[in-house]
Amino acid sequence: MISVKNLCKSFGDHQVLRDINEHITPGEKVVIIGPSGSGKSTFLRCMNLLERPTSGQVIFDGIDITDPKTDINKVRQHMGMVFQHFNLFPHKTIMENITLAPTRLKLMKAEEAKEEALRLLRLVNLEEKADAYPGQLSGGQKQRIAIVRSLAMKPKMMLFDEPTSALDPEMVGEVLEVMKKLADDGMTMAVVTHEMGFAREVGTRVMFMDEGIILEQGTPEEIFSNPKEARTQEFLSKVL
Amino acid sequence: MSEWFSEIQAKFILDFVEEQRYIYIVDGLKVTLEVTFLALIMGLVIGVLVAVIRTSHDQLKEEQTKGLGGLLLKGANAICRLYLTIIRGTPTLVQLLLMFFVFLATSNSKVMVAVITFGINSGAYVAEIFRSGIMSVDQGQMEAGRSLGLGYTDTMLQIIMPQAIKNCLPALVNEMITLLKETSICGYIGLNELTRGGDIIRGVTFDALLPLLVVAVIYLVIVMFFTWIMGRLERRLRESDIR
Repeated sequence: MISVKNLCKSFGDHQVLRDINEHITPGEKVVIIGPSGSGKSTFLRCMNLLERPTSGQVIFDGIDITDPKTDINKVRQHMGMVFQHFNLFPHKTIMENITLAPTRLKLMKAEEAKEEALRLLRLVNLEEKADAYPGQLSGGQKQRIAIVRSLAMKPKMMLFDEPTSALDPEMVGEVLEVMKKLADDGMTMAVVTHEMGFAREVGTRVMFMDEGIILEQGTPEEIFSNPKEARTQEFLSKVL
Repeated sequence: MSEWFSEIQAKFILDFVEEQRYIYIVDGLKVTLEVTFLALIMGLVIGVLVAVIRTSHDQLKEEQTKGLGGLLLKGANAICRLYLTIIRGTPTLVQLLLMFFVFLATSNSKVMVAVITFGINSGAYVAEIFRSGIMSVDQGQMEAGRSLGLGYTDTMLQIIMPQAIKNCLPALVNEMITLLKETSICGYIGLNELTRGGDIIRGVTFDALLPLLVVAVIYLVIVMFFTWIMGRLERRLRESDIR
């Protein structure tokens, strides 16, 4: 689904990602964990080029998206992204938030997009919020809408950048619930998170990142029960 | 008291009624409104254009400004910066006199000279107001739009601009008010706008109080009207803020 080759990213003199090589196959649910500043978010953001790699390649669905000739907007239509701070459009209703991209990009007719939006809203139990504005919603509701907004583009893969980190603890569950449903439906996912429970339960593969490299990876079982690297052990002992 | 009142009444008749001198005020008001309205539109167009060029230049990352397009954007940005520096760095009156006596000396329409001068002048301020409005929109909004596959222009128009305009509306109204009042310097090039109309009456009747007071009140009423209209508009744009 997506391959990363010799990926490096620097901000000025500061090297955030050091030569990452990785491949994610369709249906995988990859969970990326690690201390803050380890490059997890930057790694994720490089996958849809919100962050342009300093060097290296990102190949999505057979297309080299780091090639300047590639139409990145086309590629991004197939890759959903969910942000820590939701980033809903505050001046548009929930319905407009969801239907904006599919209709602007002429992928669906207005009617069709609306129907699809309602179907997705029912899936996350927020049908009655269709005409509300984001400001009237709780954090957990906002994030569920943000997920729905991405899903409305019918993506092949979803990226989650700390989707529950800005939520009140009581709202984390409802968002993780939606993500689990999504995982069960076979969506390919890459998730940066601090929710170790989610990583263990939903992840098919867990990556531990530290100082710009993937220090260790394996099944949740391997990483959580039997981490090999000292740095991984230290990190897990602090968060578990 | 009644003596004072009849004196005022006599002056009022002298200033406005006799020889239909009120016409100076009415015609002046028309010119003032015409210049303000046209300059406002011109200023908005210039301002939005300059603001978009400046922010696109600052926001697009280094790698994206390569090639011919990037070079053009860099050139346009440099011109915009020069424009802002010159216009904001010199007095409006000097700009008006330069336009009238030098750059547009061949023009026979004083209204046109005034519109162009004030349009160019206001554009510089509107540009910076818009730019601050655009920059006040959270960076995540752009990222969210782009991550859905919308292009830069589409995201700008659909997502960033509506929020930016809402954010900078009070400052824009302020600029409109300043523009309206600043057109009063057009008397320097002999354009008979509102202020000059009042001043002409003063010159004829030797009464300064009433003509200038009336002029002042007219400006005040127009400004209050602007403020009222914008207040309503702002409330409508705030619809999405209800919690």
